[in-house]
Amino acid sequence: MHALRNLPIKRKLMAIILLVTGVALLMASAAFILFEQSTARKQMVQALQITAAMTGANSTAGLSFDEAGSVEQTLKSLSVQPDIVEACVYDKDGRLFAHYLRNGETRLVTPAVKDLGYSFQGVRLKLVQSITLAGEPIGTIYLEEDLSQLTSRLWRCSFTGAIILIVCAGVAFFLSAWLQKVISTPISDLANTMSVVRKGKDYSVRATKKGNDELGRLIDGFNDMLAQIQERDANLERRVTERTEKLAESEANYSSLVDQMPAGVFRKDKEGRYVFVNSWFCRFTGARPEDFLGKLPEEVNDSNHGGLESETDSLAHSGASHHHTILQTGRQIECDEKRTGPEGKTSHYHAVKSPVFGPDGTVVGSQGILLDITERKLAEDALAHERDLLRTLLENSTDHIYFKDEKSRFLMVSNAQARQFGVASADDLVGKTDFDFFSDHHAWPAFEDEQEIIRTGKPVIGKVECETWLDKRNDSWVLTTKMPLRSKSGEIIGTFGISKDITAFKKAEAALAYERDLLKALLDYSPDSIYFKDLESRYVRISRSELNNLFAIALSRHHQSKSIDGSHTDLLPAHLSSLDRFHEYVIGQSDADIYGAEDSADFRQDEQETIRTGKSLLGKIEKVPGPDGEIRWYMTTKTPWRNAEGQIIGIFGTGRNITDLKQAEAKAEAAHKQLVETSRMAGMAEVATSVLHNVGNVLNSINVSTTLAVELVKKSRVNNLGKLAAMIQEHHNDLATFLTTDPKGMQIPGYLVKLTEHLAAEQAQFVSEIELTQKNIEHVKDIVTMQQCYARISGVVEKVKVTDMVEDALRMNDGALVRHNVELVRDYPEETIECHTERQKVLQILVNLIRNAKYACDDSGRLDKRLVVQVRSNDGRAQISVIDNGVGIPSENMTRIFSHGFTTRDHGHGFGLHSGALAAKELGGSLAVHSDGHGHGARFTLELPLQQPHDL
Amino acid sequence: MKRSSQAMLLRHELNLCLVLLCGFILLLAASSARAQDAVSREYQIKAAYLYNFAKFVDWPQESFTDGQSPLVIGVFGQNPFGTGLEAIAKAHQINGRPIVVKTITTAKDIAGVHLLFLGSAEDDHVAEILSALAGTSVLTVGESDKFMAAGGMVNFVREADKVRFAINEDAVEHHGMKISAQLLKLATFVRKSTLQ
Repeated sequence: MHALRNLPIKRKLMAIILLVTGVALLMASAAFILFEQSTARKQMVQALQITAAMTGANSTAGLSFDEAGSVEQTLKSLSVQPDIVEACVYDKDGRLFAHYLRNGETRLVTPAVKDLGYSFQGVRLKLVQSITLAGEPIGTIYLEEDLSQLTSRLWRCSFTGAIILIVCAGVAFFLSAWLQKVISTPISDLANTMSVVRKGKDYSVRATKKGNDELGRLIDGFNDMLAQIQERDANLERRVTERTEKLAESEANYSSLVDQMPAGVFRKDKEGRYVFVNSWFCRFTGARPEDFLGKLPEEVNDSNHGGLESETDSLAHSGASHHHTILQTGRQIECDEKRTGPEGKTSHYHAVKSPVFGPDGTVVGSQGILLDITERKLAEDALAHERDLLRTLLENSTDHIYFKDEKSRFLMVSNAQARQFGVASADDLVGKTDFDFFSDHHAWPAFEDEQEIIRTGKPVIGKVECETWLDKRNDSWVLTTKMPLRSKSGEIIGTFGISKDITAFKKAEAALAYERDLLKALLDYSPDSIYFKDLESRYVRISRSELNNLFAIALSRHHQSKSIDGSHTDLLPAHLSSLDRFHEYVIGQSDADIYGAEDSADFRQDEQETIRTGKSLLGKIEKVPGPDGEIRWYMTTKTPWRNAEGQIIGIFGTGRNITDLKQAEAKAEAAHKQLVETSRMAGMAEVATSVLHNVGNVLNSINVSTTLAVELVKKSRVNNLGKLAAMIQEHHNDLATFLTTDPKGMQIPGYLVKLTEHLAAEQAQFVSEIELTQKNIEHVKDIVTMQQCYARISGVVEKVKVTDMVEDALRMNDGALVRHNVELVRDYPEETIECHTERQKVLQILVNLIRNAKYACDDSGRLDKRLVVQVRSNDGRAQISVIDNGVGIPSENMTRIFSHGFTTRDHGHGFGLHSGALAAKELGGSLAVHSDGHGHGARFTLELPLQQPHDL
Repeated sequence: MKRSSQAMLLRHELNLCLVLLCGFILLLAASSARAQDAVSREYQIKAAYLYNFAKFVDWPQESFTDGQSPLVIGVFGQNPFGTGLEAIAKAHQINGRPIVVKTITTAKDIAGVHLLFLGSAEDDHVAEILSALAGTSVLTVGESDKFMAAGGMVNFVREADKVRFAINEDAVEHHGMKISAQLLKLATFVRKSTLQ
């Protein structure tokens, strides 16, 4: 289909016709051939069937009566049909009855009887039919026919058909070639005409009409169109001429308008090139039209411009960018630009640049009008400058500056003032008055001042005002100057003023007054003597108490000297006449003037020392002679008095009368001494009591044991041995007979044996009692040793290695541990831990802990008794732990374990851990215990600080 | 007890006798069959031929009442076919007609027969039968020269091992029947009068 589309009409038509004809013919021939073949076949089969039937019918007799010969004869007649290759007759049991084979054919195998029917096999047609006689089948007949004839016939037919087909096609070709012209010629003519018209744009050409069919109509239409085009062309030409004339006219109007305008006008095309500039524009830029037209702003030749290079560049640049913006947005741009003229004069102009719209509404360029605004600009600038100055002042000044009208309403204020009032900006105050912010207490006087100024024209200068506020904030203080505000003609139209904020000063003043009052109060009412002296130890200021004191002393001395002098006048010198006069007098005097030179020598010395070194004299206890001659004790502190720069300008000192205190102290000291003595006695008593108590217990035990032992010995059967010996001695002559015949004698050997046994038992008992005694004595030894240890008073603090101490403690218990089969494990850290502590005390504690651990293990009865000694240092403290796997400590005992007298051992004293805990505390450490309960062993930890606190 | 055992003994004896008897009869039958074998072979063929003849002969319309009325084959006197002919008759039909075999003893029985066979044993009666059949359409088949000479229509002839036949076409036509040329072709001898 697609291939066909692009062929010329001529060929298309021919192709179509040929194709159609060809297809038709082919179809016809094919149909014929097929039909032919099927009919031929049918015919063949029918013919063969007839032959079979006839032959069969002729064979019935022979078959019935078993006369094969007859049947053979019949079959032979089939040779008439040369196509029949083979014929067989079978009887009703399927046995071959008679056979015929065409001349020249060979058969190796005689075909067996087959199913009824026919079949085409290759070039053979095989037929099997039943032979019936009187309605009953009596056998079958088989015929085989050679179809080669038929096939060859078919081929002949096809061949003939093909020839006919070709011939027909040829005829069709020529016919179509000739007849298609009827359609194709007019079409191609038309096409040619059209291409002529197109090429030459000659609309006067016409196509020739040939027929009246659709093609004819097409040609008519085509010609019509051409005619129309011609006409329209002519019209357009006319119209164009008209329009051009009109355009020229309007252009002329436009240019005359634009040229005469007192403003610069330019127009740019889409690319930004100048397409029009009026004369004013040229005058303004100092260039000629030719310099602009067709050029981009950057390209404009400025050689005769005389302007600044950079300025023209930037103008050109902005011009170009404006143009682009206008093109993009289609919006107007107004701006002010300045240009330096040919004589170097700067001119300003206001430019209005807008888009040029094409007929279709799109932006096709930009245009601009420049209006000269130089004069106006200068005036504006000057004004702005002035305004800026004022603005700067008002914005930045920290003083409150304000302009008010004749009714005292704010016209303009400084930002500082606005801030003070708490408004967002100065403009918010316009029209408001003082009454809006200040309470009447301040606002009225202020208002009256201003009105006075307006009336009289006399300014108010340097007035201190207290501003009180409506919004309940603290009062502020200002220093105000107000002056009349005059108009251009000199009239007073309002006031203006400046108020300087002096609140801070005022506050400082008040604070100062307050401080002064405090000092005065202190000096007037303090019972201590407080005084300020200058560098020469002269009094500058003194407290009232000191004043009184000095007065009293001065008076007494005066009286003393008077008595020595012997004068009898009662008149007091001026300076001693009253306290106030004395006060006046004493300022500027030194201690020497009051106390006398020797008595005050020390004072002066201390003061001078203080002044010199700058070090305070703290808490010196001085002996001061009282007015009555008695000795008084004072505790004095003198400190250097420095000025603001830090220079020493004198001293100030305090003195306290501690006479009473001293006396009390002495008494307390005595009492304390007594108390110490008593407690020592008590402590000793306590120690003695407990030793005695414990030892007493043990001694009891010893007593018992020894008594028992004595009893044992007394009651010993050994005595009996004496009787026995006596008996033997009696009969020493006839010992043998005695031993063998005498009833008593005969008992003797037996008795001896028994006795031996008894004696052995006695011995054992005796031994055990003695051993017990031994133990108890050892115990007593222990107790005494222990007490000896604890009775020692505090020892020397020395630097010791913790592990050394532990080892010492272990060594002291070594024997016991070995004896009781306790395994010892040492857990020491890598680093050496040294601490400052009292060695003996630590040892005591450790020995006690180790012993306790040993006893605990024994009590548990376990075989794997183990004691672990662990040393650690942690956080500035040494930790020594003694861990055992003995009986452990039940939870109810944990609180009591460090109590004095608490023990779980039968022979325990109960103060080992108590003393240990106390000792640990004394050393600045602690003793702690941890146990998981009964049977789970225990862990005692002694913590010691590595440094004694007072060492730090 | 004794009686029952005696009875049982008796029964046993009886059984034995029966068995022996049956065996004897079978033997007899077999032997007779064998004995009859050779003889009956010929007659088997002849019986088949009789049936075949019927296929090649056209009887006049009056011979049959309708299309389904049976074809009656009569055997006069002694039946040498045994059961052979009946067997064939039972198994086959001719053009849809059943075949019935009738034994003829007297001339009166001949009525309704379409084919009549006269065995060689009935040679003496041949003339009598044939004259009785005058005017009827009955195909006569015999197996002796006498029969042929007396005017029989089809006569079996033994040629060596084969059974062949001679046909008196004249007689057939005379009795109103038509005989197929095919059959005539196979016959050994056909008597036909040329002038008729």
